[in-house]
Amino acid sequence: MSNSDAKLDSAPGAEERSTRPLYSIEDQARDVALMASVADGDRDALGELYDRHSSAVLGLMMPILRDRRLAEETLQDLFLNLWQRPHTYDSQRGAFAGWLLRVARNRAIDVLRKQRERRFADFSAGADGDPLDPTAWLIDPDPDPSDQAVSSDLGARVRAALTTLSPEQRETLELAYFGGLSHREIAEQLKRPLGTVKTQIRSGMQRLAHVLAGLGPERVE
Amino acid sequence: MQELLPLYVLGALDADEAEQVAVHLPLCPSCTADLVRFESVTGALAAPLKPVTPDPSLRSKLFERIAETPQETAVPLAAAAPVATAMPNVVSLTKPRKMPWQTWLVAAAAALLILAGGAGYWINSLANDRDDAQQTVAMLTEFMAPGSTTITLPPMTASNYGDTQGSSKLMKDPEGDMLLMVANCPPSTDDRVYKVWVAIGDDRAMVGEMTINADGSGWMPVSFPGEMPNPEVLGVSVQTNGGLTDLFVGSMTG
Repeated sequence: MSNSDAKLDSAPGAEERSTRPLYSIEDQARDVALMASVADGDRDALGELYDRHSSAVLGLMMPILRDRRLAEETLQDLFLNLWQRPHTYDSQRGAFAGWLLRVARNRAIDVLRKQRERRFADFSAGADGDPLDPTAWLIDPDPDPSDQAVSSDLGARVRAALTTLSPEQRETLELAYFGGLSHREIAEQLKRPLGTVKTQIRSGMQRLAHVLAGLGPERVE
Repeated sequence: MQELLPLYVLGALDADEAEQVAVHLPLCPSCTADLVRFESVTGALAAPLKPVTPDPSLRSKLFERIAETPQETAVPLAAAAPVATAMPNVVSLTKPRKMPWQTWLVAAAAALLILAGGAGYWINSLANDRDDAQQTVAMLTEFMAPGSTTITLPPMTASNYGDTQGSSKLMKDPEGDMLLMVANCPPSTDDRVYKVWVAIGDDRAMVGEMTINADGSGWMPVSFPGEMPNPEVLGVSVQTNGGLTDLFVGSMTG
């Protein structure tokens, strides 16, 4: 789907899915139980969490770091930290899978920022030469993603939500989310006014939060 | 402030803006609720990405490292336990989920007094305001509950003021709320500003400024900044005309 095809009405099923949780209750319950066991020193529980989520985490870290060796090192550090400090997860702040992916993204961004001061020219190609695919969020990556820790249903829902964004909103979000760029850096790279970029990021995130909460598409500008 | 939250969770704010948000959040339940909402978006945004299976050898390497790595140890607040025992009718109260900032201050002051061995004085000082006393003790009960931890931030040389030695502790309750306390340090002035920060390696991120009162004590709720949610260390420094000097620096990684 090209950006020009994205229309608010094209978000498939956003309304019907209404208030369904982002992550299944069964998965959430299992993750919380495993984390409780990890806190009790159960290495097997950490192993199961690794088996359930490492592919999704590495799938997130790869487009950020675009260096497999570096991404795998960062993945290992993430799970080691999970072992050392299991109490950093607070089940009242949301599902484990979402929390883990958020922490994974922040850690990968920290590594990325340490690796180099990234200019926009660099951002167009990764360390291993792979070009950044700006439509990575919109393409169904795998028709049978049986090894996904998070459900393919959630992936479809998020893709649908992303189609409700304008191309400008999506572009700024991609630069912030994958590139770890500040709003000031994004404004410089895209040659857009700072206020415009801040508005695009803010309204894009507000719209995604609204749609993913099951409230349906809404224009938020 | 709410308009900055979507950028804050993405780490897209300038450092000074991020610091403003980090300082504001513990004081604002509404913004905290919005923060959780936007945090869930950043987690969900990974869902459409193609999973990548790690090299199988990575798992065994991870567990080799885990076998050599101890978990963070929970340290019970033994010094505070007698207070809870002495006031069972009060500590049995249900703690409100969100407490006003003023109560945080009272609770922090109380906790500091307990750590300094002044619990009796503190209880008496609250006798005229029973509501606050009840909330305060309930709050302290949470910090004293099983699973709460206290981390002593090791003092740097500069925290030795001759006849007094500064000290600092970070308390973390089972819900993850953190309270940083400092004692026996010179009071804050325009020319003496205390700064709390976190760091990974050489990279530092501001948590906020802490006021040290005339009695040499200070406290503040701590939230790790969005750009550094899992720091390696937490530190307290003092900014004077002579520059920035580290006073206390403690590991956050166990």
